[in-house]
Amino acid sequence: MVKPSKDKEIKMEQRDIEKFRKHMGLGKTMKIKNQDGTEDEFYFKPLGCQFLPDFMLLATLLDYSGSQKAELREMKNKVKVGKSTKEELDRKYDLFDDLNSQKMLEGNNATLIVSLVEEMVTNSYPELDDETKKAFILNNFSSLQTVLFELNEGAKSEVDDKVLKKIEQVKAARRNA
Amino acid sequence: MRKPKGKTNTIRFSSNKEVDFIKWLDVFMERYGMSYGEFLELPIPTFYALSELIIKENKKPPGK
Repeated sequence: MVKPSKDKEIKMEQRDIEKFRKHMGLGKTMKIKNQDGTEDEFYFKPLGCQFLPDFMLLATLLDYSGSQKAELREMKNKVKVGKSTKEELDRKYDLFDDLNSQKMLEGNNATLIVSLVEEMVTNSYPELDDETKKAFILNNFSSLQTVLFELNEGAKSEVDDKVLKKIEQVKAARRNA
Repeated sequence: MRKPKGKTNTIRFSSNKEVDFIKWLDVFMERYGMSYGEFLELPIPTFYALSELIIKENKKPPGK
């Protein structure tokens, strides 16, 4: 293999570096269907590590909800009850599933997710004007939220259960107030 | 960078390795000779991938 001599070193410009970054396989494509059946493609870049703590917090809440759901499922399977009670438990389980999704969009979590989605769109399309960006996010929030989590996958953490339980208590108290 | 909210502040990788986030930052930046500013700009998936590499390196027997 011929090694390039020092005087033949390739001078890289900013746009070359961008080319490398673009093809590192880090981004994610989102497709939106048009009315005529065609599709528009959007390419989103992952966020930088300055947002890592936010992801760790959101991922923890997701994990926590997941473990609660698992507990409930286990409890449901263990209980030997009549048909009507079983149906009631099934209904509660489904309701929990719905609440679980809603939980992510509660209070500060919602603000945090919206700001992260906004950051992802801005980071990927810096030339987009504010008005267009906000309308785009508003109309495609659900898909963008999925892309956000898939794109920055791996951001998982463990926070003390006591802290999370305290958060839940505070939220419940606020709801009942 | 502010600390992640919570008490234990550990970060978990896909290899199930769990480490203290703040301590891991020191290990990570030292291993890659990275400044704090460079770390902040690093894409999150790259941070995870590079962290997994450190974990794999540490699993290797000494001398390899």
